[in-house]
Amino acid sequence: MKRSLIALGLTLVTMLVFTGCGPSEANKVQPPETKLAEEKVQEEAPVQVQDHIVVAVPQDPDYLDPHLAAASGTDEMMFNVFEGLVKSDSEGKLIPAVSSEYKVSEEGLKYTFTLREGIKFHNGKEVTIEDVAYSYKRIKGDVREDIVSAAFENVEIDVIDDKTIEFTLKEVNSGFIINLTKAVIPSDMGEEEHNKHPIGTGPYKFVEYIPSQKVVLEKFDAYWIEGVPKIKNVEFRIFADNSTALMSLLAGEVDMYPRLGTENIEMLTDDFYYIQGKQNMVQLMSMNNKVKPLNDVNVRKAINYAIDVDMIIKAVADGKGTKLGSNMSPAMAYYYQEGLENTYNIDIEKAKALLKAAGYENGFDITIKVPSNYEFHVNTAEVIAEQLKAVNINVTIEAIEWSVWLEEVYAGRDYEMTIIGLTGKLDPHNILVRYESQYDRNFMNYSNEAYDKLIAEALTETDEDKRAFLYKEAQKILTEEVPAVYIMDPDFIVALKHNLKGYKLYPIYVQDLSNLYFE
Amino acid sequence: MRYLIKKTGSAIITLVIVSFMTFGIFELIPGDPVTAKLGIEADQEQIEALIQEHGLDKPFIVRYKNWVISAIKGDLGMSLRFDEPVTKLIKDRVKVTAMLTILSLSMTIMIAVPLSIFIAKYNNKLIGILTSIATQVGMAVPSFWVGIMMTYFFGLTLRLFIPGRYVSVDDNFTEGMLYLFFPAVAIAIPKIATVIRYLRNAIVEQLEANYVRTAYAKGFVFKGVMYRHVLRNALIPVITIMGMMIADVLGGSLIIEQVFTIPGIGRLLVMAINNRDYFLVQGMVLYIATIIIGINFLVDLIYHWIDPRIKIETL
Repeated sequence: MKRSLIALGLTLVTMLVFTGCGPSEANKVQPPETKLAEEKVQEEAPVQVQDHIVVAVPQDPDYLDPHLAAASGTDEMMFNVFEGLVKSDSEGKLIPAVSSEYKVSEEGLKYTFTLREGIKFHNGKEVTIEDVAYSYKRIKGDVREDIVSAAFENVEIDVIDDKTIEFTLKEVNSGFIINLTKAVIPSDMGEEEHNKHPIGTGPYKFVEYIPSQKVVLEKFDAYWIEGVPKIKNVEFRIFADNSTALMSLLAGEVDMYPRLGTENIEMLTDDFYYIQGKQNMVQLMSMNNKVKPLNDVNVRKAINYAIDVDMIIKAVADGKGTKLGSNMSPAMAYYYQEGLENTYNIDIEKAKALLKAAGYENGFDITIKVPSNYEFHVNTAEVIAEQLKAVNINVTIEAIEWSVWLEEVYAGRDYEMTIIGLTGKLDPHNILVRYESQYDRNFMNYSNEAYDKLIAEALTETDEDKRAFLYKEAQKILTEEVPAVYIMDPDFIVALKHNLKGYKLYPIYVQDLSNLYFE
Repeated sequence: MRYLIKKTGSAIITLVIVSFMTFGIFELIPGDPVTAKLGIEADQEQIEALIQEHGLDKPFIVRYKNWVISAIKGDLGMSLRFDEPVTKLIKDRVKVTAMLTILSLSMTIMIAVPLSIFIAKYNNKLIGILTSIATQVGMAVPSFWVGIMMTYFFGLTLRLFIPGRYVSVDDNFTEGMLYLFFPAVAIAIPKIATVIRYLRNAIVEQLEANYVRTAYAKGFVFKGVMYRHVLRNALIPVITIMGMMIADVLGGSLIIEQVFTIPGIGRLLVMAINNRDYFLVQGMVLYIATIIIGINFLVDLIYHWIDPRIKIETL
């Protein structure tokens, strides 16, 4: 007995030493797991294909009730459960969903929607026009005190007949229709039920949510698009830790891992492949425009000239990113102003001259606050700190917790410089309004009358081409006045099992699972 | 009896101080639970609504008072982040963490005690140095590193378990135990090293004592001397360490649970703190404090049982 225990003890000690050379060897070994699993399947029944999928996600949903939910991490999952009158396709265009068609009156004030024939909720009941009216009135704030959205503030919602609903606006708002992507839910459910067991019309129905572990969905058989979705069971598994998520993927436990870091691409074995593309994100280094010396446009320009964005893309994203020159990603092709990205190509002499003109010939000390949970942004900060040394700007990097960043930087505007990625929106207004002087989340503290005017004008413009022109002008102002250093739209990299096909990238923060299938 | 009253009294005072301090610390450190939950896209209206719902707009003292009153009634409030009662969230996770504690603790005892006796028995310079190096290394390696290495080696290379998967013991006992086995080993390694360090020294010291010579003179063999006399005396400091260890693991092995994705107390606590989930952290701190007080109480009793000369009243 004693001997065997000693042996066990020694084994443990050896193991400790042995595993010291583990990682490099483990890398070379191809995980046979998936192959084994396939062989087994083939022995039993050759035609059988995997009918469940596990997707790695980084966070819990904030609310299951779609009208309470605000976090984009929730949207990422629940995009598969809920639909509005319209929804986004993979190109960011709005397509009818719960409605079958819609028209906008000439002056741009009336939106009339026709309910899709025979569309059903997950509980099997047909969607009625009352459900639609109830849903948007609920979002507007007519049902509960804790659900209020400013988006419907001056909007009248009228049921015309049992197939038609009309939204009447007080003034033209070209961005209004985006709000109708918000979920249509049944009107005859208990209020609390929506947050416990939500029901929608999407391709997947909600099964269960276990906090900090998983969100489980199941195929909705009566979905309005025939043959969609293809995979029966879906599990979003919550990994608070990236390396654990990666290991689970390599072990074959996870089938799909969105947001794989570029540094991990080489870890992928033949059992996996990845898709990369623009994600409509703007990674930027915001310079607090109300804080000295950043309130001086010459200083901001100097910093822009001193920073080598191409180098950052190479160093931090391994070249997998699109260089930006303003607060818009080329993923928004129709609204994107081309040719701005090379305005501030690196020029140390110019930077020095500009600093001299501003009276900072000898440089200055400055702090970048960066959320520590985003390694990508922390790495970017390190490269920038190094680059700014060339013009005697001495950078201190302060890595802070996400919740602290939200409070101090995003809400409190108490910072000098910060690096963050602004996730894409479908409507250019929602992207560019961040710089409007009255906007309450304008954390760049930027203010420019001409800019405000452009944004206001574009909002009431009904002609699409003219609207796009106005937004392009706005982008030019941002490039000219540089409230921030615009860095890149980092490529979105999603790792998938080799036989999992049909993935589509969206310009918004969602994972559409409805078209995925196993080969 | 007087002992019990005294102990209960000090336990209550400790809990009050601990809970007040946690509340206070959360008041001081930056970070806002509402934006942490809703993210950067939330409307001002939504933020207001959440603040109202949880009474976060009230002054610190009022919030603390409300919390204490409902805590006395057994209601620890609702988690901000998960929208579930705090007691339920904790209760769901205690079982997993408890299993992990039992498993790692039995490993520690089963390996460390015999190994210490063995090392002490054949005590010479070489063994001494080797033990000292091995225990030093065992204590020094960070447990997250051991965890990640084990995931690589046993999970990815040897395929004994699948990283990222977790099987509940309720669903499948053997498989569930397997998924707890490796994390338990990762927790046990530094603990084993610590126990060996203390126990070996204690045994060696005791073996040189006069009563040992007397015992041998009386005709006892090594076994008798060891188990009847030496071990009893040597165990006292080890019991203290073990008590601390149990409290430590039962309070959640923060890192190991994270690395092995075990849905236990530790992972919940990390998540609660990151999200500034006041009520959840508060409830968990209360739970952990209670555990530690309880364990200390047990350690007192065990002292008395091992060495009856130690009177409970004087502790």
